[in-house]
Order: sequence, then C-alpha cells, then structure tokens
Amino acid sequence: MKKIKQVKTFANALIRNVGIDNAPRTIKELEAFNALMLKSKEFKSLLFNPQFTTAEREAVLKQLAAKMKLSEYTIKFVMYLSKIGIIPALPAIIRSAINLYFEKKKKAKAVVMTPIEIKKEQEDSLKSSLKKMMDRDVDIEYVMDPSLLGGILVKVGSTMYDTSIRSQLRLLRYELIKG
Amino acid sequence: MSINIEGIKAEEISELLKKQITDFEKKVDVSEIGTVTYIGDGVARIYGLDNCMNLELLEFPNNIFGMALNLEEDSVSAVLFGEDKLVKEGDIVKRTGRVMMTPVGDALVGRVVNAIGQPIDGKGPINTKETRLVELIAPGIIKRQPVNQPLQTGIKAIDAMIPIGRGQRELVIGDRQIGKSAILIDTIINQKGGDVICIYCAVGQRRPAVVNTVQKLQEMGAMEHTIVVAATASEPAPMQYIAPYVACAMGEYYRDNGRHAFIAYDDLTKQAHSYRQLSLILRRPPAREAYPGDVFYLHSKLLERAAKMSDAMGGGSLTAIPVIETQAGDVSGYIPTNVISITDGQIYLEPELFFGGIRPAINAGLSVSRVGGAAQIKAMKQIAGMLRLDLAQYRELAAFAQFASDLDKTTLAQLERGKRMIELLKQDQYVPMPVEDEIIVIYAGTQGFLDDLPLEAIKSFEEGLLRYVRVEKQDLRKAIIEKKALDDDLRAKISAAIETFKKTFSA
Repeated sequence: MKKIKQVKTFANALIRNVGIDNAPRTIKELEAFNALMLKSKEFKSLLFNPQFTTAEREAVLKQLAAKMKLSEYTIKFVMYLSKIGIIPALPAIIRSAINLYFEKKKKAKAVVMTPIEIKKEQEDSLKSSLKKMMDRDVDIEYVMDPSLLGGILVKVGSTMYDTSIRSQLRLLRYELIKG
Repeated sequence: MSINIEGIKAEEISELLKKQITDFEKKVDVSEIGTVTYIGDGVARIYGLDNCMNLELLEFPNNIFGMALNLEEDSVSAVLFGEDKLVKEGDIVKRTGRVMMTPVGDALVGRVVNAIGQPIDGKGPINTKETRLVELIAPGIIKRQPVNQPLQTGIKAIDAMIPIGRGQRELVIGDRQIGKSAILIDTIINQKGGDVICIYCAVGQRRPAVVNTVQKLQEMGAMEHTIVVAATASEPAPMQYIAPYVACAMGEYYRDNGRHAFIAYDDLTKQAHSYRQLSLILRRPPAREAYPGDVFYLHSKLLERAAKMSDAMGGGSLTAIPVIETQAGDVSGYIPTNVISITDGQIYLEPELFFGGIRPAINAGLSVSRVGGAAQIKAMKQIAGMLRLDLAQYRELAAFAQFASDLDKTTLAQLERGKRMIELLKQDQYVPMPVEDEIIVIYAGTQGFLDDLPLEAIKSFEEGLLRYVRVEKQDLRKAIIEKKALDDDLRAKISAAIETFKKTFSA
C-alpha cells in the first residue's frame, strides 16, 4: 500500500514540476531511459548498486544526457530516485504519470488490435465512435495481431471490447459445451 | 444433454450442431480486464480490474480460473484453481461477474470430485444443472430449530456416551494414526439404506489414502449415498483451502431441500495450514503461529453452516464432523482450541488407549456432546444415561486401586463392571452396528449380565448374543425400533433373551 502511494506522489510531482504541456516529452524521455535500463545490465547496476557514489552516477548520467538529449529535469528526477533507492519503481511511476496526464488532459488511451492493417477511413470512423463512447479525446495505439483471425479488439483503460473472430469462436465453444 | 451415439448418422450430428449454432448470437464481448504483474505459489497479483468484487471468479488464459481475495487500490490478488505454470506475467485476466459456484445435486452422489466440483473418478461428466454459491452466510436463528433427531454413527461408544444429533457439529480430535478417519468412515458406512447423504471431504491427505478410502466405501456399498470431495496434498493450497466450502455447499443443497446430509471434514488442520500459506503469499499480516487474523472465522463460518432447519424450512439438516489433528495430545494449540470452541462437543481420541488395545480410543472423560440426550432415542437414553459417568469414575478408581492392597466389595464390583464395559465398548473397524443391537449389548453390560464372565469371553459373548437375537429374537429388535423406549415388558423380554443365551454360552 505504502509503495503505491509513493508511486502516485512521485508521478504527481513529476507532472506538476514539468508542467502539463511538457509532460509528454518528459514521459517519453523516461520511457527511453527505462528501455535503456532493461537493455543494459551494467547501466541498471550503476543505478541500483549502492556501491557507486552519487558523483559517479552523476558523471555517467550527464554524459548520457548529452547523447540522448535528455532534459535537465529528467536527469535530476532520475538522480533523485536513484539516490533514495526508489529507482526500481520507475516503470510504475511512468505508468502512473501517463494515467495522470490523460486524466488532466481529459484524454484516454486506447489500444486497437487488428489482424491486418486498417485503412485511413476506418481509422477515422473508429476514432470518432470511440470519442463518442468515452466522451473524451482518444489516443490510439495500433497493434497487429494475426491470431485474432478477423474483427477488431479495443482496450480502453481496464475495459476490453472484443469483436474478433477468435473470441467469437471461444464464445461459440462455451455455448456448444453448455448444450 | 445426453445423446445416444450409436445409430446416429453424420447428417444428424451436423444438423444438431447447425441448430445450436443458428441460435448463437454474434455479440461484442465487453469485459473488464487486468494484467498479471506477479504469479507464483498459486497466487497472482493483477493490475487493473477496477470494479472487481470480493471472491469474484476471474478468468485467466488457458482456461484457468481464480478467485479474487485481496482488493487493493490499484491491484487485485487472486488465488488460482489450476496450474500456475500456465499463467505468466503480462497475461490478460478477465472479470466474469460471478462469485464462485459449485455444481450440486443428486447427480454427484457416488462420485469423486475435486475441490471445484469437477469429476476425477473417470466416470464421465456430471449431469447436473444446479449450482450453489460456495461461500454463503449460515442460516439465521428463525430458520433453525434445536437438534432433536439422532444421527446413528454405528459406533457403540459414541452412540451411547457422546450422541450426535442431526444438525450438530461434533469435533473428532486426536493425534495422527489413532483412528480419527475410521470413525468418519464407519459413520458413513452406517448410513447405508438410510435417508442421510454423506459427503467425505479429504483435505491435504495423501492420494493413496483417499484411493483406499474410496475403495473401502465402494466395497461396503457405501458410495451409493456418498460424495467424495478430494483436495490431496499434491494439489495447490487454494484447492485445499476451498474444498471444505465446496463440500459444504453440496451438503447445503440437501439441508435446504428438507433432506438430511452428513459431512466429514478430514481434516481442518490441513485446511488451516493451506490458508496460512495463501495468506502469507497474499501478504496479509501474520498473527499467532503465523496464521492470519481471520483463521477463527475461516472455521466458524464453515461450521456454522451445519444446521437443523425449522419445520417451516423443510426440517432438513446438515451434520458436520470436522477432524483436527493434534501434536502429542496437545489440545491447547491455536487451531484445536478454536475449533473446540466452535463445535457442539468433541470426541477426544487418546494414543494411550489406542495402543492399549481400546479401539475406538475414545477418552470418555474428555469427550462431550453439548447436544446430549436430545440426540438419542429414548431407549438408549434409559440404558446409557449413566454410562459415561460410570466409566469416568472407573478410570479414577482404577488409578487409585493400583496402590490399595485390599478393597471393599463394592469398589471391587465397580472395578470389575468397569473393565467389562470397556471391553464391551471395543469395536472393530468397518463394522458399525444398528442401534437396536447396540441397545441390547449395552443393556447386557449395564444390567450386570456380564459380571460373572471372564474378560476374554466378552467379545465372543457379544458376537454370540447378537447372532442369537438376530436369528431367534427378531421380534425383540423390531419392538425396540418401533417403541423407541424400553418399558418393563420389553426389559423383561431382553433380560430373558440374554439369560437364555447365557445358559448355552461357554467361553
């Protein structure tokens, strides 16, 4: 419970300090940073391992910042997290910050899964109908998944609308078993 | 739906399938989802599922179901009823909107099912449409009535001294391997041909032990009125935790339909262990002996569901006999004291008695039934009323008499009578006795017909007497069952029968 509250506090502070307009950029930078941590074990250990001093970490991060063109605030934020040992919670903080940003902007994020690529006009009609349904602007992320066989699957928040052939087959199977 | 496979053509099958498919409505499958963030030890932590209910059934991939137990701000923790290896981090979990249910009904009788009501005896699917909630609040006060009908266990010592009534909760407590399960099995066998449906719930037992029990029940023809719910030691902790509730729901079906059911929980110590394991993995705060704070409620909510319903509710009953295993006879442990305080009495089995050859090894002093005489037929009450007290006194006297060199006549007589009664109450396994036989045998003992017989002859005398009564004095047994009480006339007849047999008996 305590951990969750902390995550929310950090996400809140992040959005408040960079301002709502700069938030997407910062979140993207943090995501890139997180991806790097997942990629390189040594880099992860630099941030996690208490044997490294703050000065050492700072030096590495500064070099990185120049290469990755990270903003100063992002570096400061990561440095602080590393200093107080909260860095393992970074993915949760990012997730929480994204939720907060969408909440403040009255936006929603939808993941749309389709077996084939969808056309422009289909995309537009999907966007407008989702907007009508959710009563807010919708950011759509498209994912291709051939295992759906056909139809479309939309995930918004914790709700899933599934019209794919895969799920219809599954429902049909239940129906047949029930008799 | 049952289909006779033979004599069906391929076209007919496809026609049948087509008919079913035409009724199938294509609809959007809207569901609330979450993602698995942790999985292990039969427990999953799920991010999302904002509107999830407590105890709601959740659907995991690969047809695995789970039950939500901890609802937190951002996440839900659930126990899995299946292989946790088939679920991995990042998997999508769906809400079902249903609270856990189990199939119930007469189709289950004679079957062996697992902790979620699926058949495991290889006899095919169970054809029942009825289901019941697994977790239910026990019936209220108005819906009940006091226990007033006996549940005959067929064990002389229990039926005479610690009677169990229909709707009662009687605990069987004792160390390992001293005949706790034997009492339950004998009770189940004794319900043969009666109106009581038995449910045997095996929790945390070895699989071979369960197989043996089922085989024995089959041999004795007792599976015809019995359901076995098995969550063996090899199954995950959530299955062992839920099994007693599932078994109880099956019993409640009979209770609420005006019928009688008897349920044996073998044993609740193991269930408490699995609940402790679950709770620790769910990160619930541990309390005494690392059990969670609600371990009392775990057992009280289960045992309270055993009840004798009022006549307005159909008068059905659910009798529960839970088993608790103690360590070196210590009844003051956490779980034993909890369950002792919940139940309406206990049957305490003692290793010293067991290894001293007194089987069933019931300690008459520590065993009680708080329902008492209300759960006995009058005839039994008349002859066995003082038996428990007499035996307890005998024990005390016997300990004292070890130091005395010469004893007065009455004490000596009391000692001799006690020895014979103890001998008489011994009983072999798998041979439960009808109540009329019990009455005749105990009558012979309490009225002093055995006092002049040598101790070694008691067993053969008992066997011979019963054989004689069954063959020659069938009317006596009938009269006991019909009158349910012993009047002077009946007493005289029984005495005469015993005397006649005694004359022909030679040890």
